[in-house]
Amino acid sequence: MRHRIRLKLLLAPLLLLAACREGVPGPQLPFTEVAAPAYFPEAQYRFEKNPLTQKGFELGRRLFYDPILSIDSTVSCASCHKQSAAFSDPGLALSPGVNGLKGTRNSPALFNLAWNKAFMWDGGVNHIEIMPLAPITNPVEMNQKLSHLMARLKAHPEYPRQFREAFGKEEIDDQQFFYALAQFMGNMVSANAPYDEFRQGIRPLSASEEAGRLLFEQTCSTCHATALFTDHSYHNNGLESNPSDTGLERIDLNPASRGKFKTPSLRNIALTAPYMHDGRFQTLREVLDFYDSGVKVSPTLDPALNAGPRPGIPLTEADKQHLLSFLNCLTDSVFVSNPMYQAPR
Amino acid sequence: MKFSRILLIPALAATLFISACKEDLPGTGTLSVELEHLFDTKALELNTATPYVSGSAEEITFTTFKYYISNVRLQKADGTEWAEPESYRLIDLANAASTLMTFDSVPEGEYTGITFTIGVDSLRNVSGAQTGALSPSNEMFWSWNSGYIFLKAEGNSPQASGGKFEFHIGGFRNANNTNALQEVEISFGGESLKTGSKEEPELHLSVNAKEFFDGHHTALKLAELSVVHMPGADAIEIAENYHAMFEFEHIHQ
Repeated sequence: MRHRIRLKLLLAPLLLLAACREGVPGPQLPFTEVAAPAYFPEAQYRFEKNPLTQKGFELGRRLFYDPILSIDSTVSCASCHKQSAAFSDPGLALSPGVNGLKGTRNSPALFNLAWNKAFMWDGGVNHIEIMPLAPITNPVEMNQKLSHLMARLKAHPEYPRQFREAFGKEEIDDQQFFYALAQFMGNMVSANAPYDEFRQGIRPLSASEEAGRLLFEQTCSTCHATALFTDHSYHNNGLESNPSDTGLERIDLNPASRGKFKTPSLRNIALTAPYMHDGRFQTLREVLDFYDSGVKVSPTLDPALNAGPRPGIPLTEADKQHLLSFLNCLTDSVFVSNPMYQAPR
Repeated sequence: MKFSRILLIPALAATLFISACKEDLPGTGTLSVELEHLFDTKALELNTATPYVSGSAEEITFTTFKYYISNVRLQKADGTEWAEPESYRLIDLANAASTLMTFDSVPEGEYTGITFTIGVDSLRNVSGAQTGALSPSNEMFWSWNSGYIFLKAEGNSPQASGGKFEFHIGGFRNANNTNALQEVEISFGGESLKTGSKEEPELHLSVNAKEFFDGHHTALKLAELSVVHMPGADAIEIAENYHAMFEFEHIHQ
């Protein structure tokens, strides 16, 4: 029911737009909440102040793929967020920014961002619209002043027209820039994995996948919760600590937050190696081995990982095989090949 | 014919809009507030040849001094007040025009005081992409820990480590003692400020940057603390210091 109301709300501006354009309907966007299955929770970002349009989405996509965002025009968002890897950077623990500089965190996969309450591994960014500001201005990523970037866009042969068509304003400003990117990023919906077919009753799970699912529900879903496979919260999962990266504590200044990082979604997880906030594990097998026998006790270790006779999640060899089978069901091959998200020609 | 009519409507709308902006609404008037920046008794300027001297005898020159004034309200003697809608201003010493604040459409009346926030209210810190004074292009927004820098003071001092100081003061969350928002209340000391269509009041406030160093708390010594780049206890102490910068000077009626 709730879903149907939302559908109408989202369609209303579309109809209006269509009317203005002499009744020619634009290509259908996967307007987030329409496209999302009913078993997804309610989205955080609802495009309320930033009404979705085809032009806005396309402008956001162009910006996402354009290295003009970086100071020397060498690095685009897509440099470290590749569609084939669910918009992560496959194989790299740390991705190079301008001049090959590297930061301290693994490039996260990008999808279902409209459901996120906060962004970055430490949750430091509180809104999808201003998320791109962090990589753009970070000296080891794009190293660009926002005001310089706006000047470049204004002087560009095509962007001023494209912004005007998307937002109807005479001059480009950074709010339109962020709105456009949010229209693209907020529409990266990944909900077509074999797991979704299972949820929708289209495809049964194999015996091993089902065993993995049951085990997952018992042991992993505390944090990797809901059909999004994240609780959108922060935990110390017992990794060997790195004193120079305290995670959430750096943001909220609470010593109880030391070593806590955001729970990543496990959708598309088979595509997004290496793993953890610093990319320390190369394979999912290593991750499972870590939870089985590598969890380190510290004052902020998540209690759920310290409830048994020894820290971590005891897993047999068979358990690990079943979990891997299940995790492979979360790969959304439709999402990673959808032309809608590809670089504009 | 059809074409020109289409053009006419936006043109008319624009004209109406412009004329509406030029004149105040009936029953209202304009108020100017001039911020006179000082360091003790000297005019506060950027990149001065002669350094200012703090109460701790430290020598200070500024390269940047900018801050937000937001949610301005004017009080009447009867206790009612007028709140300016969308009230966000970035005061920047590098931009002289920003030190004269103009308020349009202030309801006619006699006002006895002014209140405002130094910084940006918590809601706007969590509301995504903003424009104008709140645009992140003004470099008053932390990209890695979302939130506005309420006041940015940078400069040189031989007493500071490395010869430079950088204070980026902000923080809007109440949790873990990181709220640096400061509310300033200034009474006109018994004088009243009249607004209306026939009035052109000018309110003069002084902003004394010496208080940044010598204000409410034990003096800020650059030899001990010369960089603050995040919310927290240091930011709050400095914010409580600079709360004392603002003082009523006089009213030109």
